[in-house]
Amino acid sequence: MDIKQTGSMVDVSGVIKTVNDSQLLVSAIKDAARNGSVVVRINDSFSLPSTVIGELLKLKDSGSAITIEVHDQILYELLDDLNLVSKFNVKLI
Amino acid sequence: MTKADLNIVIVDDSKVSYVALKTMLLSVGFKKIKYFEYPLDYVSYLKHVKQDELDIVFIDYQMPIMNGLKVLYYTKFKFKDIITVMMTGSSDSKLKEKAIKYGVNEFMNKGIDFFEFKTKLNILANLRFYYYESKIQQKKLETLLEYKDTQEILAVQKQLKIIEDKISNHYYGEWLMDSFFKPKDILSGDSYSTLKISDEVFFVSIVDGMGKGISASLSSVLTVSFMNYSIKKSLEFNDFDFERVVRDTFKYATSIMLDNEALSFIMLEINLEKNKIKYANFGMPPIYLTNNEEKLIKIKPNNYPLLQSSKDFVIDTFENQFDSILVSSDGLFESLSEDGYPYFVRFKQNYKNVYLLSDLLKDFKSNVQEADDDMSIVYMKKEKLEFKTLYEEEILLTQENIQNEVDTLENKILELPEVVRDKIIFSLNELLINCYEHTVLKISKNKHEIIQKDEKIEYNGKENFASLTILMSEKYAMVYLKDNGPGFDVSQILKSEWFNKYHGRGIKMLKKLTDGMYYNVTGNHVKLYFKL
Repeated sequence: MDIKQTGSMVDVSGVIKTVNDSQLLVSAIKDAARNGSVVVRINDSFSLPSTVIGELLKLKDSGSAITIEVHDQILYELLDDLNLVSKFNVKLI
Repeated sequence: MTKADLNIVIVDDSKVSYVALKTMLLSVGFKKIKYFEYPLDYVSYLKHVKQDELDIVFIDYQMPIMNGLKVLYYTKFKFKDIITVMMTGSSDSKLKEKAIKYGVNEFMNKGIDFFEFKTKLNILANLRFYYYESKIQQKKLETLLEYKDTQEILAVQKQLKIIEDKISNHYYGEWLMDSFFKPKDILSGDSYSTLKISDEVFFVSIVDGMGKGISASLSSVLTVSFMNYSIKKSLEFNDFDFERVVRDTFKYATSIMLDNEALSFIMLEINLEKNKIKYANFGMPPIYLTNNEEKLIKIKPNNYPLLQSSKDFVIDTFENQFDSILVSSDGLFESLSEDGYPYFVRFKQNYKNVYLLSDLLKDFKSNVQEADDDMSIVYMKKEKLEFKTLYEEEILLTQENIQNEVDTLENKILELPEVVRDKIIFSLNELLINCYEHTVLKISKNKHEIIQKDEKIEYNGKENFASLTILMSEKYAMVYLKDNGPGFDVSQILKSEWFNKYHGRGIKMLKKLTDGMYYNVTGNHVKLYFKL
């Protein structure tokens, strides 16, 4: 997995699967959201660890604007099944 | 609302014309009249005025600095619904064409006959009244739709609360158990129930309110609710009796039905140890079984659909070897495949290839565009695949150790395709963190509070292990993970579509990503299947 963070944008390539991946991503998201908004672009991954979802929920609760751009249909369906599409403004690219 | 409530504006550089127009407006009932001698003053006024503070604007065409067309343009640009009247004696068709393009509603001569003026103003005022009325109606409709949406969500929540599914995503002995429930409409005519009576005996029921709408749905939900409550009570008193449950449910359902209503339902007592199934099927599709020779066995309904006038019923018993059982409402069988035949035709040919319920659902989804009805399926399968062990490890449950284990696992299961390896690693990440939270940190229902308060939990110092085995057969890879923690109620976590905020999502993700997820009854052992 590879993460590029520029301003409020977090761009993730590769599959997010290990504990380390989750921790790196959570850290990048926290950093990107410092100014009150974050866009997470997930280019390849078919899933999003629950640790990352939990962090995004916390940020949303504290007032941050969240957008998730996904490229994988399975991931979009998964987030939809979890009732998170409108909460995280998820877009299937 | 009357004409006296409408806000009129006159933009005209001629005070004489203004006075004449105002006199006529007052005489037909208008009272709120504002005047602008200079168009630029009106344009400034436009910047601050609100939509409903302006109703009809009379605009003189011939004015210095800014002509009437420009005034019209600015007016319609800001408020497209406002009524505009261009006052001009000109017969210039190009001017009129441009005014129409900008959205003018009426042309009038300054020397207009009073009765013609009155008639036109009545029409324009009515247009404005209609505009306000439609806004009120639209608001009412929005409120009504909002109410309807809220009620529908509450109704679905209630239905999901009533449905009891204690076997789905579980394994009992050698048996893998699953269910699938998908309403076609927001409030389903189907309801179902699966309950564990003892370690070997299970109760399964599906109820289908025939016809559509709230009445059918109510009959179905009430019947299942009654059934679940009476079975739970009988289990409390240790006197479960299948015949009594059928009889009581039969009597209850007939007592709540309308005279033009029909109810299909099926009730089964499945004894896996004795290979014995007691059943009462009131017009639902047949029960399908397979035996060791992969032969498809069909058990037809033994009762007609239930009517208010129904008097009697029969219970039959099937007693023979079987290694899978499928009970479904008609949504599965009657939905049309892309070849134009009901899915039932394809089902009969392909059912022998189904091992997990996900195999059947994938085949259904790839052949049926949209289910024609609600779908409820309960499926049990006896495990019979031959697996070879790829990897076996006792994992000490510390955060560092879990991370090392997951990070180095990929190289140990290279026989599996990359996509399956990725899914396994992701799943183990979720599962082991779950084990760590439950077993080591003792976090369970208190997770929400811990996250909210950002509390740090101390490692409790005990050595806890999880036992991991990864296996492979011809068609599936399987992850088998056991921990010695207290486990959790998997049915309860999966039941709610409206998740607890910070926990339960990992399990839901695993269910989606795997081809089968089966927990033991205490929720501390799990088997995950991945199709190769």
